[in-house]
Amino acid sequence: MPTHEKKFGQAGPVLNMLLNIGTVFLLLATVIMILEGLSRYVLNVSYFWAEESVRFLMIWAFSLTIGIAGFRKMHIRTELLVQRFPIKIQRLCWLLSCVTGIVFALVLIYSSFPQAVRYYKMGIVSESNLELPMWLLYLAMPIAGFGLFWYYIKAAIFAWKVGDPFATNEEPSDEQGADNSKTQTSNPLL
Amino acid sequence: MTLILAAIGLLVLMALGAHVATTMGLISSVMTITMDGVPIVVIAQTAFKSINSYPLMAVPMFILMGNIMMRGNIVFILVELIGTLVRFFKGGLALTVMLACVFFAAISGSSVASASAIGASTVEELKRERYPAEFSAALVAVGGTLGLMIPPSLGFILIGSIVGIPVDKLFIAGIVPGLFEAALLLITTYVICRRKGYGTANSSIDLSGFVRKLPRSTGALSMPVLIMGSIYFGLFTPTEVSAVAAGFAIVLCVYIYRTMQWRDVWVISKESVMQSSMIFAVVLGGSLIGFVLSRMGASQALVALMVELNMQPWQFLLMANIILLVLGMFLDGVAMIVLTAPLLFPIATQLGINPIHFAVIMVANVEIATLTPPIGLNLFVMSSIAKIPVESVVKGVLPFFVTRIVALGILTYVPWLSLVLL
Repeated sequence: MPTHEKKFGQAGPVLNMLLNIGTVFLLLATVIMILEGLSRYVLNVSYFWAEESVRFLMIWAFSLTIGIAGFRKMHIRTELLVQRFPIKIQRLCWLLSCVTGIVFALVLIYSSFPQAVRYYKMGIVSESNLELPMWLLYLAMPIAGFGLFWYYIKAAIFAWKVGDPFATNEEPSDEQGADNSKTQTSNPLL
Repeated sequence: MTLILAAIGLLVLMALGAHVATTMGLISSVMTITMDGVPIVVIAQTAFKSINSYPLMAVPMFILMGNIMMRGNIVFILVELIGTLVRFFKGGLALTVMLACVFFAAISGSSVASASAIGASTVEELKRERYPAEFSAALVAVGGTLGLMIPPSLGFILIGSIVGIPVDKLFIAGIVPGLFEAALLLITTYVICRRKGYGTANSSIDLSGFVRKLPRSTGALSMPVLIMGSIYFGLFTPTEVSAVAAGFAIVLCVYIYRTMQWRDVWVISKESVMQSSMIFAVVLGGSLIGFVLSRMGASQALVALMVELNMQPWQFLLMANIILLVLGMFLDGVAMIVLTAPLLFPIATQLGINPIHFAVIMVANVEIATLTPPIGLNLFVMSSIAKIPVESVVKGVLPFFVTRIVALGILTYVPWLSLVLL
């Protein structure tokens, strides 16, 4: 494909697989909460594992999908001022946005990975009755950092070589992108 | 001085198009790293803690529910039913659309989602009855904002998670203000239609049509009852009800109305998880900003300043409204809440303002923010759906905007409206 026809949005099979896993986590969390709510209301029985497992499933869903959410142009930004600049300045702004993301992603990885390792070495478990290994829960943070890092690196390369990686009028071109384009994205939410 | 520089850096980066979440994250990380005696691991700990919140878990499930109801074309069913009762008024279809907005607000926590769903379903019908396009677009843009005030509201969940107010109380507090705003908007719609001669009127109420359509609408109508009833009577926690409502929405759309298949549920779930990630990312960035502000004593300094200036609660509320209205012109609602809540709530509490009342005021401002250019999201949504320029939507919104400002004033200075059900 010629460079000028390339469109940004291909997340690749790995991130698509992570999105599928994250979606399963969301649905699983929903089912667990339904069970907990109905059981508490009907049988007056509450499951000790419900609240914690839902929290951790959703944290992992977040960490697995934060990168692909970028590829799908979900993250909030303001482009009003940038659009008024000449294209060269716009390119600088795109790159600046990418650098901001890359540096923050690195900070997130650098600050969280040693903590996950520390939890692993010390064998610390969560405070609740579930007693999940904390390193496994905490690993979600560096994973989220890696997801963001990958997204911003790809976006920076695209901004450098092709054009606006944040433009929302382009349809992603891999399988998931096609799925997503069928449903009208209403973003941001509030 | 450091804080001022950081605020300038934050605003400049955002203005230059950097993502809100990463900008907040980076600026606050830089400040944390440069603080004496604060290890870098605090950044990860604060980030993890911010999203490891049980009330916040309601966000993905309410998003899932709202998306399912939106794509399941539930609005058609509501519009048909309401129309049988309301369309004998002059401008009855416009009133029907506004009432549909109220109902959809009670099953969706988002302003933009409400406007998208109702706009896509009703703009053509309004056009057929010769309503001007700018009025139709404005009607839905304004009505959609009720999704933020009438529970379930994503805005209230965010405020509750950040400030630590029980989300169920915030939901209950939003009911009367939401209905109050809806009543004012209905009156405005009626007056505009009467004065400008918009729309047609049926000769009488279509009671037989209502009775015929009611059974099919029961499922859709029972959703707000399920959500508000279970929270009000304390049957479920907000997180539980978000899951039950999402499950019920799937059953409604897949098995009862048959407006979607399981394949669609999967696609919508994928989209919902990514939208939730986006919100979680902003919350994460905002929590880091909150940490820095707290560590540097910014909130305490502001509180001390207010005390020193002998600021009265009414003066603070006026100032807060002006700040939020101005910020709302340039910031998205999530960012607005995440950035301002950690600063404004401590001051409000110190001045004796009920934090639940203040949360309602903040959400009312976010509602208006979705209507104010240059970044009024509902304006863009309706411009795209009605296929008219954003300027035309703005022109149509102006009379409603006056109503919204009046409503904001009343909600601000009559706390009874926010606290009566608590």
